[in-house]
Amino acid sequence: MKLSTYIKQKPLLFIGLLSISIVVLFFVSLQTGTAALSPLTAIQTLFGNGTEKDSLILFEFRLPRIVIAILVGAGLAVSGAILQAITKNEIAEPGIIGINAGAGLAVVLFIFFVKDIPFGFSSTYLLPVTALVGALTAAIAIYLFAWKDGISPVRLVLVGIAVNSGINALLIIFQLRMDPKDFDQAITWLSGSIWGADWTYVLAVLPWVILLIPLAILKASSLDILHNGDDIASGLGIHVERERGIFLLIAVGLAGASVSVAGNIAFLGLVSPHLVRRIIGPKHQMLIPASALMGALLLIVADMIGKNLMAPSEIPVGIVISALGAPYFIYLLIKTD
Amino acid sequence: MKKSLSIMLGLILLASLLVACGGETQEQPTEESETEEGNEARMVEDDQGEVEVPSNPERVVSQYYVGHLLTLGVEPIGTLPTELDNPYIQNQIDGIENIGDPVDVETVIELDPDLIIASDQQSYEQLEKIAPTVLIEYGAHHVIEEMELLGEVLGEQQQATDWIEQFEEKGQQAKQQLDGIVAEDETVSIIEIWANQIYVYGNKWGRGGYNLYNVLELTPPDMVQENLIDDQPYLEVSLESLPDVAGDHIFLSVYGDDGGAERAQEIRNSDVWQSLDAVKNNNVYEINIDDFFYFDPIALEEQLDVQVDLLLGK
Repeated sequence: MKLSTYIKQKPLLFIGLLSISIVVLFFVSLQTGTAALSPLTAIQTLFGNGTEKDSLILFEFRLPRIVIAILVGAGLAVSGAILQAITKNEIAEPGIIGINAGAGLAVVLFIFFVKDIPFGFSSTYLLPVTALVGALTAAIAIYLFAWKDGISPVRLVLVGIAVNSGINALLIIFQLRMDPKDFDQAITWLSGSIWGADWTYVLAVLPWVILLIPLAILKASSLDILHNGDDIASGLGIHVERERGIFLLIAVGLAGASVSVAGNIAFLGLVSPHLVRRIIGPKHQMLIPASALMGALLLIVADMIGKNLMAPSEIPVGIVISALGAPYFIYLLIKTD
Repeated sequence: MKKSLSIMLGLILLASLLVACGGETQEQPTEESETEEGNEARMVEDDQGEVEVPSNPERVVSQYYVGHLLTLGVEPIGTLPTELDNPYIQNQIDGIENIGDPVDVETVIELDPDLIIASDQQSYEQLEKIAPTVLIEYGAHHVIEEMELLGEVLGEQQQATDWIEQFEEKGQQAKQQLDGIVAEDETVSIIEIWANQIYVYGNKWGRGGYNLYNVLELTPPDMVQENLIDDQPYLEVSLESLPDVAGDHIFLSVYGDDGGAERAQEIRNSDVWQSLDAVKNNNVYEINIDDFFYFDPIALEEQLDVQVDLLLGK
């Protein structure tokens, strides 16, 4: 039988393959970079037997970046998968429906109004929280605007796109009124990059990913039913509005946490579930973990490319993902004709 | 089925974390031994307070300030790519490594510096893990302050003082040369045209502003005085607001890429531009943006000569 059919029947195999790929790429990424670190040295250093310099490179700089790439990749991918299910729209993702923009606006507002907090403190603790609050606020705004005797999935997407445009307009207004230096700071913070990732960033996003993704997997069957339509879902005894609300919250939490440490990485939440769905089908019990792994994989690869293609300068990972994601998207559009 | 999946995911993440945490204590000794080796340490002031630096730094990585360092007699071993494009120091930058923008920490580690001069907070947080690092924020100080700070940090205070005196001398001479050229009540502005924006500069962001307003002590227009002198580095203005901002003498630069040159031509032909006093009296001086981009000591001295010549009508 065809390979794709075979894999569809054995989704666990695919998930296993993805996991192994991540582990492999993890080690590959550990020893790529402008500082030379051979594979053997990298492994030695990992287990505590490296030189001070190598340990510095590995534990302070390379490892946190890879861990962030895994966490954020998984977070954004699962967020995208959930949003695609509850809006029944395959191009939904946190970037398109304004959640990332909401997080961004909160960061810009924070920098605009609160100027004298030492950057170190704020970047570690306050900005991530601010970003999350922003994401949540955007989600609430979208939800309220889309409410009309309940939420129809189509309205959710359309309102999301409108809110996204509105927030981006606000961002431009602030750009004009802010001290250019402050705005530069905001923009570098927002533009989808994991340069400068360290362990505090990991701590900021870890709890969200570790709690919310398993939660989403546990509730995966509800997602399947919601995806089939509100009437069927109600008929099957699902409290449609409540479930949809909960899933929206999960998606927002994941997206907000991810944006708060890595800025706005668009497309990842869209592409990961897409790629995976084509291979293992739409059952969310498999789709969610597979999307998480695929997202992590894509982001690790994108980061490796971004860091090394134009060394010593760096291409922000958000740009690499867009550069890879856009052609794939066009390919999809052509194929579905 | 689902449980084992979650467990598997959790284990992978947990494993990488445990390994990382296990190894973290390893890098603690790095900071101490680097300052103890050979060089004694001193305490100096930077933008964040007191910092410990080696007494005689020999391998300095500096994000910006290459012109400053060279003037103080110190050649850095690594800097940002834009610094390497500075037209006034091309004959002195052989052997200075490009550390990338944003800073590539691994390149810096490989250079094995004993002192790092950071120019923004985010980079500082990364760089201070590698070697003793001071923070001198780019654009937050005038060149005189920067030279004083850097002189302190590098142990070249005498060189710094010497240069400051010499530069002030040069400024005085230039003022004398220009006596009477610009009247007491006339104002001078710096305007830059891009494809979609028009910028006005003060004394804090290159384009020769420091020379005009602090050295030659020319008067800026009110709007510039309120917002751009010792305050914001630059502001975007609209074409319509030019009459309020332009002043009696205009130093004009154009960012020609992406349609800037065309836009500049459009603006020069516009009614608003033609009606400006400075334009009518032929007091518009064109400066080259590449030459006036930098504002380190070497660039400022060269730019001062250019500005004086332009004002004298040569």
